[in-house]
Amino acid sequence: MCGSGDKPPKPSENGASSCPAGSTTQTCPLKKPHLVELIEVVARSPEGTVVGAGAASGKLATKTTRTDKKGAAYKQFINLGKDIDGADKRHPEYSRAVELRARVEGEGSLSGLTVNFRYVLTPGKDRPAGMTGGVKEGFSSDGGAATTSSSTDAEGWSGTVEFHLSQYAGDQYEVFAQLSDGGAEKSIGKFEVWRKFWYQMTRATTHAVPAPAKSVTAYAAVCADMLAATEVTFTKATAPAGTFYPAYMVRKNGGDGEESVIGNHNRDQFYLKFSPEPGKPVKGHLIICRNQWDPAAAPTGLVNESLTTDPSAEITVALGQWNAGIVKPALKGSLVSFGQWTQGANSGAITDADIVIEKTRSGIDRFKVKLPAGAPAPTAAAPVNVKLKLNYGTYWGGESNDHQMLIVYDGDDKAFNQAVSHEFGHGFALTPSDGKQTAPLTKHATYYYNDQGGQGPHCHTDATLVVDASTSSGKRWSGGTCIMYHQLSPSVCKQVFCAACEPHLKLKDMSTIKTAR
Amino acid sequence: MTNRTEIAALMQKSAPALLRGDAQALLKLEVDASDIAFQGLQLLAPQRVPGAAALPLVLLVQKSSLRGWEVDEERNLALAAFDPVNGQLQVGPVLAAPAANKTLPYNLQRPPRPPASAQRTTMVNTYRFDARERLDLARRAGPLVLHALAWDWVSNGARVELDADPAHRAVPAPVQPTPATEPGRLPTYETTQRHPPLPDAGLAFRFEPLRQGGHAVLGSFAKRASVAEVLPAPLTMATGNGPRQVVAVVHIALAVVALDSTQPAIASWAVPVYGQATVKAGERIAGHFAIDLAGLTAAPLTAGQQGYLFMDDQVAGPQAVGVQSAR
Repeated sequence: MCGSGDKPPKPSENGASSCPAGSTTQTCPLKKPHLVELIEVVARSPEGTVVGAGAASGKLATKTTRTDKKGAAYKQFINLGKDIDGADKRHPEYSRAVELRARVEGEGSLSGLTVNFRYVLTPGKDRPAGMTGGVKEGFSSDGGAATTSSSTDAEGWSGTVEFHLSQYAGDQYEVFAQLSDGGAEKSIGKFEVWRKFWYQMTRATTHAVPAPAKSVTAYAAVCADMLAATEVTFTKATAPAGTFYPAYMVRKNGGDGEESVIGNHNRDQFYLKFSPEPGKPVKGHLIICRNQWDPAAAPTGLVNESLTTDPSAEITVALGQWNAGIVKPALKGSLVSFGQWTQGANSGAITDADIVIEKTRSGIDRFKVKLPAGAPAPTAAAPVNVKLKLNYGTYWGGESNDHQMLIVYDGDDKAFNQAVSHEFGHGFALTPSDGKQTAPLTKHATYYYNDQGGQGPHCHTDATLVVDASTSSGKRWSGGTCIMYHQLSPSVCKQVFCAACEPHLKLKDMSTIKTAR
Repeated sequence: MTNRTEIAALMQKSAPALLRGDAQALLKLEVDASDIAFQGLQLLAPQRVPGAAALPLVLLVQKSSLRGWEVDEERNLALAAFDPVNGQLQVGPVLAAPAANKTLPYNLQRPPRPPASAQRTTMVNTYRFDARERLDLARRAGPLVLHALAWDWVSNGARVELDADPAHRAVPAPVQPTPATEPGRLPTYETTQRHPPLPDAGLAFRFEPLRQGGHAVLGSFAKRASVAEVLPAPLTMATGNGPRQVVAVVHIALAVVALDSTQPAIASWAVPVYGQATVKAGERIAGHFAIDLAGLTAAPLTAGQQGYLFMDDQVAGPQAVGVQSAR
């Protein structure tokens, strides 16, 4: 009975009172205020509900739906700002914060009730122990409190509560809310820490390049989505001068086919082909070239040769390094930096027109001289002396300049993928030297530097230290299988960030691409 | 006039412009040098450099194209800086390392061997660089003796006076390594029949394989004693041959260079001169040493490596690491 003076019936667990059937008096059933929903919200003027990790609200219109998932968890891309596409398109799935509200229903005043929030963490693989401060999760701020509470307004809504995920990729969170005086607990989640970045591929239309699928997989394994942005292509007509050479110029027996050659002589113009997009702020520019060449800083040494035939026999220039060659026209400026022929008192100039590079030359450090008109015909008895200095080039396997990366693709898919993953890895500050790792991670176990091979910080997982007199330590790591090994090694690279690198990469926020060397 | 002195004279004639990096002067040097039948390395340095100012050097390398292919400069051209006061030796590459943001091609190979005619093609390269950018000379003061190395080639020595530092005074160093106290063990500073003959002045040495593996270096030297080397009074030192009187201590450094390396194995020693009575600066002193090189290099020395010894302004070598009979 619900008669006057009777005590109200005991509320059920969900706050609703039970009332005997047929009761006709008083206000019955009496509903004790109780939590009816815990939702994710996004402030998009007006505020609305985000569906996915949480359900739709009975009161607040749905604004957007989360779709990026890994298993049952919703990806939270912590390296991107919520408003990169504008406040009216605020992304609830970006940044470390998720915004939550709880709502109470029931009779009587709904204002001033206290809702308590807590979370449950499922740690990501190899999450370091002792995460504190800014890299840790918490309410209201990075590294904030483990619990929080909020008072309801007259309509029963709690304030918007921010839960900040950690910075460690793969950490999963479920958030719970409960009225302070008990009742059922509501939950939302799971949210998982992810990062997202994009790559823009720029390539010659004649240079078919596959998508870097192994790189995409490698980054997904460390909870980072690597997504293709709009590709840019170029032709000989739209490329800067000096971009296309017949292959025999840059490679012994290379043939007549023209190939892209990109380097210091033209790369700035390729940098301009990068399309910045506010909505894709972490975007790398993969400038794909068949050959990466730079003009040498200074011409060759002086070549001193006695010609007994015209054209001459093949002349080898000691370029001083293995990755160098002579191409015509020179990558930059004239090919002949200094050139003269002499025979007795006669002499004359040698110019670019007198330098012959044959398709069949026995090495790319070789050329012939065809003496200009007016020069005497050389013989064994009366040779013509030639002194020459040529502008030459050096060739490389790739380079990175923050988000601008030159990547060589020569048909080796594995080398290509390792190069892409590797250069982005440097861009995300791999491999950190001791002291540069993100706390609380300890020293990277397989880090090494130039003294044991390569240029810059690298990883020697599965490698063997071999004797090598060319390094300052006398030893060099050989046969590394990690993406961050110093040498592209398509035959042995496992196309993964190894167990030593993985936690270091997972603890990076990846909000910028900044080459670490 | 030898070909080397002709080259040296050419460089001295235009020294200020060359050290300044004047492009026309460097080109003229290459053109003029190419008419001199010289093959080797020649180094030009200023005589004195103030404070922490740049230490510009000009290195001329003249060789055949074939030699250039066999001993390429990126992998072999090194600068050795020996401080005769404290015996420290530093060696580093002459050519700057590639930019750290560049990767070498994964399939990089040495270019194909040039035809025999490349033996007749000569090349002259000049390199102008700041020694301070190659070696850690930031706080160094006093004399410095510079040599360029390219495996089995060594340049002239160029002595540079860096601004003297009062703290950088010359004092005799303790003997290092200390002699073995058991007879017949290394190191020893006694002479043996296996030592090179004592030169009138300078250094002579050779490598000798050891029966138990590894190598020893056996050397003999003679020189005029410097103030920094003489002891105020003879010092008694225990040796495998009983107590000996040390009257002077001489700094000698060793570099063992491998082909395709600008990072030689280095050792610095303070070698005792035995005698009965105190010697004076300027007097002739002589000594010997036999030192086990175990631990000097990451791997045992191998045939084909080249050794150089540095003492005062002099360099001895190259001396090939041989495979003579075991001692």
